Amino acid sequence: MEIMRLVVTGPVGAGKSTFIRSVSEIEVVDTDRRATDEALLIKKRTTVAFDFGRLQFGPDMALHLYGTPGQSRFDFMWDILIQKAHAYILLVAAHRPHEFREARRIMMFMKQRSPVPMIIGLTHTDCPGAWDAANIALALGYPNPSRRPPVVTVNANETASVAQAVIALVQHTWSGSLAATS
Amino acid sequence: MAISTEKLTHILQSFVTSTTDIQGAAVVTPDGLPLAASLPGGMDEERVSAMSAAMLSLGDRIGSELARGGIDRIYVEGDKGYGILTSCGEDAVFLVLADKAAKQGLLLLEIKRTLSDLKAVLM
Amino acid sequence: MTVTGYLADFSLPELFQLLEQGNKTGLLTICTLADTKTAERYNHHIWFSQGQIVAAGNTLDQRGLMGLIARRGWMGDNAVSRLAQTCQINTPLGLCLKNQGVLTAEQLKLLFYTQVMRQVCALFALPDGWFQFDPKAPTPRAEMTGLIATATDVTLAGLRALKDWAALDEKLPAPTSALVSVIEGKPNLRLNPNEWQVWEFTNGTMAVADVAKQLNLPVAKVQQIAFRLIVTGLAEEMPLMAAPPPSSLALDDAPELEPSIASGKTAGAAPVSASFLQNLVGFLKSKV
Repeated sequence: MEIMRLVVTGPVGAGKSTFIRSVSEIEVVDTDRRATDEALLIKKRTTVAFDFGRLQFGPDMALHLYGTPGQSRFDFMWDILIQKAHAYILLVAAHRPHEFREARRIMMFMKQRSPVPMIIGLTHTDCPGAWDAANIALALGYPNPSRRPPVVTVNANETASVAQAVIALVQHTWSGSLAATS
Repeated sequence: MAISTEKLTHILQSFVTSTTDIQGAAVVTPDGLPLAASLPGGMDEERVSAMSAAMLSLGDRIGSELARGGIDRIYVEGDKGYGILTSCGEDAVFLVLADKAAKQGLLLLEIKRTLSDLKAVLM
Repeated sequence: MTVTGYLADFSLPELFQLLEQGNKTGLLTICTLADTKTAERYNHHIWFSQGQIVAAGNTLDQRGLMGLIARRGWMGDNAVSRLAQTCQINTPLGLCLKNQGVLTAEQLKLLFYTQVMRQVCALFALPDGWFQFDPKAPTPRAEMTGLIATATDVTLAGLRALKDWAALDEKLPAPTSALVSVIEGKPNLRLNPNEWQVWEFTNGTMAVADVAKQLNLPVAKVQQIAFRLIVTGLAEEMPLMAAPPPSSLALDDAPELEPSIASGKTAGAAPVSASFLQNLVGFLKSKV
């Protein structure tokens, strides 16, 4: 069995669990609990260990998706999940500038622990007050547009949009090998 | 609903001090925030709480996915001691850290007793 | 596209850093929230050119700088307006007056200090406010002295003078986090002795709280210094965990896209085959 593991990370309420639910074929293994912290302002339930989704696309080929908890008190889970990941996507809610610094912290944490490639997925881009990709990239610490990871827009509720984001992540990660064989 | 943190802390403290081989205890919310704790020095309350919640939620999933039913308890047995997580109603998780020397039967009995005290306060 | 939000969400130092790093040109407007006692609100305007601050004021009537000159008693309002009309269209008013021999370089410096440094630095103490950056706003020739300040310099000055840090509390690096340098070599900024001391620890290994202990400084003070190093683009907050990180930090994303198939360099994950990738992408495309 060949397995690719992708991690979906980002601050609270960026849409990580929804993202995985939208693309998984199996019923997502979620470990959400009723939120009692500040996450409650955004949503009712929050992931405390990880979300797990799967896409089986051949008799011995599967994509595994792991969603991390958003709160930094669960950073031990971030660490566990990133260790075995092939690549990851950082989801950021475009209309919540409040979370940009937290997104940056998570990204630093991941980068320090794993050299695997990543892309940035912007959710809630149609909400009032949403920032555009160029400015969010700046806010996340990428002043140079030619030296930053790809930034894609995702609607975490739509399978097609999530599939597109996963394609972007896979193509970014394995650009060399996909080009060589196609 | 006002949960009395003082009462919870008091119950935990007397549990930890009066029971031999118990090193620490905590009551946390299912989403990993501390409600009350009496932990060994150097152990971070917030971290302990988050880990307890993650572990119990995974245990829960294993219970249902692997047809083990509702989860009463999760044991972590290390060569230096035990970590025991017990569900404490809907709104709390009870963590006990015990020495390797602890007698398991006695430990479980003490946990059961303390659990009903805690539940009374959490009601 | 405009950038908008509340300072409580995205703080002024962060905003300045963004405008500087993005080489932005335009007008930043900050609208204070209604005062609880007087119910009054105030607008503050800061003009940027290529990421640098060129002017500031409380009105958009293009008469702020003239007013400042008049208040100094250097020239009457009317006299300045008359002279201003003879200025070339792209020349900042201050520079034009200096060229005409009406103002000295020293006087310009004083004007700029009053108009920009003093006014803008005071804004760092705002607990909240609504902001908007308009990249289409015209360059305010009549408000400009011709002098400029980098956003970084203004941030450093403003935060050094800041007494009440309550508004920025949530933005400060956690005491348990470490700092890691994001520049090559030493900073070009003029740091003060304490800032240099904290800078020496930007190697991503020591928690802010431990740095404070080492330097015999209050933790809050080191957090504030660390925040200054972060928003001036010198360092980044690095959350620490009990276990040390296994790999070193790579800040550049672009050139390191080595396919894991060939190199097998992916940290803990087994490489996947080319046919796997082909199949996966094909399968996902069928869902789009």
